[in-house]
Parts: sequence; C-alpha cells; structure tokens
Amino acid sequence: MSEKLKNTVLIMLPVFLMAGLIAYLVWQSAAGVSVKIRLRGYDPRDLLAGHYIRYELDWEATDCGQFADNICPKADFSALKTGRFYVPEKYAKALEQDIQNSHNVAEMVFSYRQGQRPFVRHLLVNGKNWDGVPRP
Amino acid sequence: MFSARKLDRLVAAGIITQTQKLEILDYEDGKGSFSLIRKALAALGIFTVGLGLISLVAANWYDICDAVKLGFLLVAMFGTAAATCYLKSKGRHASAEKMLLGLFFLCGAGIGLVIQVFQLGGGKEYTPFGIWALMTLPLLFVPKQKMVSYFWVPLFLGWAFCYAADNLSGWLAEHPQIGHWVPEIILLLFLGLAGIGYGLERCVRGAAFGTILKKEAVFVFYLSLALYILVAGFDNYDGLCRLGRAVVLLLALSFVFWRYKNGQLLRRNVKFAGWLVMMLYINLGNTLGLFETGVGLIIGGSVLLLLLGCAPRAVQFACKGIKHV
Repeated sequence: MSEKLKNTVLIMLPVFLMAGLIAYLVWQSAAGVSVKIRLRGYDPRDLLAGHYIRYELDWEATDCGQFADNICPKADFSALKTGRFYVPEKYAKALEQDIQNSHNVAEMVFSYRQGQRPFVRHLLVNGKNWDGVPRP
Repeated sequence: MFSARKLDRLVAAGIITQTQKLEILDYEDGKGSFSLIRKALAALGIFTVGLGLISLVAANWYDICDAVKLGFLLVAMFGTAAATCYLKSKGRHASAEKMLLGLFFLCGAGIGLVIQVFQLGGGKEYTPFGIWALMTLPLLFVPKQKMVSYFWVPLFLGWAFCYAADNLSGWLAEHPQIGHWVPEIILLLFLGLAGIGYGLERCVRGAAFGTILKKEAVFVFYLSLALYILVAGFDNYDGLCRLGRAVVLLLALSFVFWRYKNGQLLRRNVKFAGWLVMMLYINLGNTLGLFETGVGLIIGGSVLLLLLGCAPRAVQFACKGIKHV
C-alpha cells in the first residue's frame, strides 16, 4: 500500500467510525417498539444538573402489559436505572416545575427490543412531549 | 525557516526543483524549526477551539433538528480529514498536524453530540472517553504526528485507570489476598505500559505515540514508586516488606538500564535508592523505637559515615561513574 493511500485511510478512519456509530444508533433506535415507563424519585437538588435531568424508572407504576408475558423486563433497563435526559437550559426551569408538580405524570418513551439496550425517545409530561411539540 | 508557500513560489520561478523543495521541508521538519513556544501556542489554540466545539454542543443546540446537527458534524469531520490529507500530500506536515489535532477534538465533540442526540447519558461516566480513544486510535499511526499522541495517551491512561478502578474494586474486595498486592500490580502495570511503548517505538517507525506512551508511563511509574516508598516508610513490618520489594525492583531495573546503556534512568534509580534508604531509616527507627532515645539518629549518622568511608567506589559510581555510561 502506498504511503499516501495509507495516510488517507488512517486519517479518514475516525470519520467512517463516527458515521458507522451514528448509523448503528439510528438503526437501533428505529428498530424497537415504543414503550412508556413511569419516572420517579426526583431529587430537587439534583433534578437539573446543568443541561440534563436525572431520572429513575418507577416499575411499580409502570404498565407491564405493554411487554411480552406481561412481565416488565427490568434487567434490560438496568443500564438506564438512573439515566439522564438532556434538555436545553432555557427550557429547564419550566420543565423542572412541571415535573415536580405531583399532579403531573412523567413518563419516558423508550425504543425497546427484547434483550437489547433500550433507547430514549421522548419525555412525556401528562401524555404530551415535554416541550409541547408533537413527536411521532 | 522556509514556508511551503515560499518554496512553491521558488519552484514556480524555476529556482529550485520539486525534489529540492521536499528535501528542504524534510530538513526543516527534522531540525525542529517549529519551536517549542510556537508548538505550545498552536496546541493551546487548537485545544481552545476543541473546547469551544464541545461547549457549543453542550449549549443545547435545540432549535436545529438532530439530522442537521449530525450531518454538520460529519461534514466538519470529513472536511478536516480531507484538509489534513491535502496538507500531508503537499508536504506541509506542521499544518497537517494541527488539522489532525483538530480532527481529534472534533471526534470528542462529536461523541458528546451523539450522546445528547440519542440521549445516551446515564451509563458509566468514563465510557465516552474510551470510545473517543478507540475512534482516534488510527490517528496515532499517521507518520510525523506528535501533538495527537500528547493528548491521546493521557486520555487512554485516564480511561484505563477509571475502567480498572470501577470494575476491579468489587472483585478485589472479595479477594483480599490479591487486593493486598494492588500497589505492586499498579507499578508493574505502568512498567508494562512503558514496555509496550518501547516495543511500539521500535516496531512502528515514524509513529511518535510509542515514545510518548513510554515517557508518560515511565513518569507515572516513578511517581507511583515514590509514593509507594513514602507510604512504606511509615507502615512498620508491612512497610519493610514493601521496601524490600522496591529494592528488588530498583535493582532489576538498574540492571536492565545498565545493560541497555540508559544512563539517565540509571541515575534516576540511584536517586530513588537514596529516597528508599531514607524511608528505610524512618521505618526501622519507628519499628525499633530508636527515635525515642536519639539512638536511631546516632546509628543512622554512623552508617552514613561508614558508607562514605568504606564504600567510596559505590559513592563514586553513584556520583560520577554513571554519567559516562
């Protein structure tokens, strides 16, 4: 292999790896079915640590009927037991108040495939996307 | 100092040939005309731009849709990589190296963007750094680059340390007989990394990261050894055992350095031997209770005088002889 070709391959490889990673994530998140899981346990002191919300899944309040055999697959979600949801800072305050309001119902929509790592799709507050913008 | 543009003009004017231009550029690169201050400023500038890119990502670029953000990232990365290839092909290695460092930071910023777009937060904090190191690994093999290595090696070592600490701490707690040896394992690990760096330096000609890995691993090894000896000095019987192991390690390393004529590291070992003797003295003084009466100080001083009087050759060797190795 010529020196020039070798250099080009070495320099371009990270670009292709990044493209491959993005393609894989797009495919993974599109391949699953949407499931809704309730959120709980917000610590107001750490609710919005900068640009993200720390959440905890509430399996007790989640409808397990949406999963196979009516069993909630807690093990598949173990990596997301306490996850982060990134939000823009300018919307943070209003969202914080919405979620802290005990009259509201907060749910996370995941793209889920059995045995695979789930992917976050949206955060719903009272059945609507957190920013009020309709999402598919 | 000649710039590639000036040389291009000289080639166009027929004053020098294309071959001579490349020879001049090679000579300029070889003699290190790109001074340390200029290199440091360039690295700082690119580092700042990289930080700016990461901050831009962190600023919640919410109003732009995800596909556009990811598309912009890929275009920026591809453009930087293409510019690097172009500059390399023109023999402008200093500029190519800066672009390469830019590509390295773009990868880091890109991983941050991907985490935000796909909401991948919540996993292990160090995982993105591992992905960043893995993704930019090919850049280390690009000939005549050094700057990326200076950032990549600490990134990799930091990730490896966090990964090992997170995954091995529980296991070590369950196996206290191995947990007892953790300081020695850490020392040997850094020695192993230095060995890998040395091997890469020999095997992959033109790639600087082997040399940098070796240097940084050796630095961290000696730093860890200094702490190891310091703690052992105040740890009574266990400390004495550890100091004994440190003696064996220093002797073995000194033999290797003497065999391969590395006078610089041999001299460093002699300094560490002095540090070790001092901590051994403190340890023995504490263990035997000699400091309580002043007997320890008298014995210690006498031993030093004996050392100077009875072993002048050893002292000469330590002070002068090795400089000529």
